[in-house]
Amino acid sequence: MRLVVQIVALLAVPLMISCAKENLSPKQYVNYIREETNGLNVSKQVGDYEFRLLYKPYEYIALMQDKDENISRQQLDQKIKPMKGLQYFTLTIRTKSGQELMREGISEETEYYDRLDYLVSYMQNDLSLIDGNDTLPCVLYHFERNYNTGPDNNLLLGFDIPANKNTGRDKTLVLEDQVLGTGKIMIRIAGNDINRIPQLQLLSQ
Amino acid sequence: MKKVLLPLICITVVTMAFAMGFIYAKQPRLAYVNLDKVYNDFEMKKELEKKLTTVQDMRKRQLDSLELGLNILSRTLQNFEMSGNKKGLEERMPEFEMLRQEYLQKQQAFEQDNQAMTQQYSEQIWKQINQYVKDFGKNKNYTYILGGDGTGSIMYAQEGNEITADVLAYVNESYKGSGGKN
Repeated sequence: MRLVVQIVALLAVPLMISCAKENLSPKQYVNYIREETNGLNVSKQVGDYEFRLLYKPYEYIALMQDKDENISRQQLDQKIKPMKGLQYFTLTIRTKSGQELMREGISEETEYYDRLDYLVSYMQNDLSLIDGNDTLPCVLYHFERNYNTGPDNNLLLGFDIPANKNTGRDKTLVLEDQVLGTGKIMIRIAGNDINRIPQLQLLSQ
Repeated sequence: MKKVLLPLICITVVTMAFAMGFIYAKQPRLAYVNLDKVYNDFEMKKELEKKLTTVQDMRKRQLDSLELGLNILSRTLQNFEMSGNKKGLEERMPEFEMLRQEYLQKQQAFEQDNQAMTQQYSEQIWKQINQYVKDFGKNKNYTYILGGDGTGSIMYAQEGNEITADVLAYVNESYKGSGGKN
């Protein structure tokens, strides 16, 4: 019996060690979120466009606001407090040609302004998040206009967190495209990858 | 002699294994896909088909209701004509003409819209299928993936070279958002 307990203990220790989340410094944490292989920054190409979805935990957003390596836990918590209640993503749409999104494949100047109007005011209605079995409308939307300074066009998105919150659920962003000609676009962030996010280790607590 | 022979044989075997592996890796990997099947069983196609049918049904119902009104009015006018009610005929004729025009215009507009919608959906579907098959080929190291569409583009191929089921699963999984990591 004692031998069995010892064997179980021997097997359990490495398992527990491997399951324990590692601690990362602010810089490492930001890099971890951005690193494609960690599954929180997922891209998909359709036709002339690349769609990239970034899942942004509260800590990531707070760190990106200040970019201060020496931020304390108290300062971080203060920054996080108003963010709570929503889950945040950035959808980046990049054109293959490197042109501004509004200009890609248009034939008349009026189309440019139609697209701009759509991106600024109406695209929000065509975005939703499938969180487990819940389909959530986009409640926070901001189109970052880049004035043709680069190929990336960022959409900052926020969705409610369902009442029966379960962090292990896959999250699929759905874009019912109306102007780009790609049709419905879906990008999924796996629940397992969200669960695997390491702990943030701050220099000063 | 034995001492020299054994390592020599070992070296030769290992070298040959490497050479064969290298030759195999350099060989083009070829497969074909039944595009009809991929297109018809693609989730996006099914979704858009449903959407299109709903819109077309709604439009048809609108036209049917206009047609019914037009038929009733037409019968009334015929009755006026048969009973010699010229005044009634003159009074209701402009209304009939207006309704007829509205019907014809709507019918034409709906036909054009249905056609445009079908074409737009078809383009969107193919855009996504082409992209996902391309991603599939890249991820699975295929040199060529040929598309058989039942029009004679592939007249014969060994059954083992068909990857339709794999491609279909990949295409549908990619559409649902896996980002090509399936």
